[in-house]
Amino acid sequence: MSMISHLFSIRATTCLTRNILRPTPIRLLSSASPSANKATNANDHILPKELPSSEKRKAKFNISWKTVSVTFIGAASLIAFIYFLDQRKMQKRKVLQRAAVGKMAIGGPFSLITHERKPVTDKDFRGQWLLIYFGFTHCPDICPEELEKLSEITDLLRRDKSTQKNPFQPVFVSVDPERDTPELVSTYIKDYSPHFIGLTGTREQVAEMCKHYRVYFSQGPKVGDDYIVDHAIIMYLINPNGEFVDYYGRNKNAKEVAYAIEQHMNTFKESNK
Amino acid sequence: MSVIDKKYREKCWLTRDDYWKCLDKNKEEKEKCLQLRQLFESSCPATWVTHFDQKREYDIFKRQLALGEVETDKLKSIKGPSKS
Repeated sequence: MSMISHLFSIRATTCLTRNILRPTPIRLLSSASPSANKATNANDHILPKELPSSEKRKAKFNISWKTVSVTFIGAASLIAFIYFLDQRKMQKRKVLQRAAVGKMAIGGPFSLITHERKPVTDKDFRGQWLLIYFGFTHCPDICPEELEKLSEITDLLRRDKSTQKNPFQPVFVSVDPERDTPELVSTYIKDYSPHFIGLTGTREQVAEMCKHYRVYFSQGPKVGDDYIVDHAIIMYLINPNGEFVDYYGRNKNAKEVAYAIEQHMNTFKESNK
Repeated sequence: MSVIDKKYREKCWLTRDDYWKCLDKNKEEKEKCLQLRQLFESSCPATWVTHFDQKREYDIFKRQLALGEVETDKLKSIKGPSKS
């Protein structure tokens, strides 16, 4: 937008000045060479300093409806064109940004068990869009908030029938394998959405997946048997080819995330026709 | 009933919010909110109580920082000995 205002000021200055204060040819010549006037004052019959009085009366401001409307139409069409170019540039930049994030080496194979005690790997999720949230069931406030958000995102995306070819699958992965048995995870996620899949496993399996996804997690100080797990609060988007595409933090609400995911889905559909 | 239960979690958060509302009214004077504090402590696991206490301290500090109300000695420990 700064480009537009800059150009507008240039255009306005030149255009309006030219149209409104239209100088006569004699005036132009005399203003272009002031030093010549002073030097050749005696032989100055060709380039008079001042306009003869008859010319002075004619040199009035050339404002009429015609010139003003032409100026405005010209300026408006130029601004509209520049705005159009600006928008195109911004869109291209957005696509590049997304592509850049996708090139980060995030994601990879995982092997865990679902909340229904079914062993799964990343390959079982090919053909689906995954939104993965890492958390734990004994989480005081953040995981419940984020899982509510995930549930809202799921509802928003499932409303669109066109996503059925590559369905959207929300996934909760526990970073507290010591406590979070499949049964516990099952009870926990049912409170948020019937569509969630919960994953857990051995410490090694969870650590392996977290390594690939660059997810930080660390068991906090114990109070009796209880402890809180400190962990990264990010949702990871994986496309139907199993590739990491994007991530979303706490700063984005459900609608914003759902919209962003829809954009990725559309891009994917376009490139896989 | 444990934290896995949604009802348990919601009760814990409610007692926490009541306690915090009392602190808001009484300018953080914990002596005036002892009853609510007891209710809060009995409704939530100990680790959660500690977590929420730390969260409250942090939120208050962030608000004070934004409003420029942080005491000078606290600020000095952040900014370092740049002022004389």
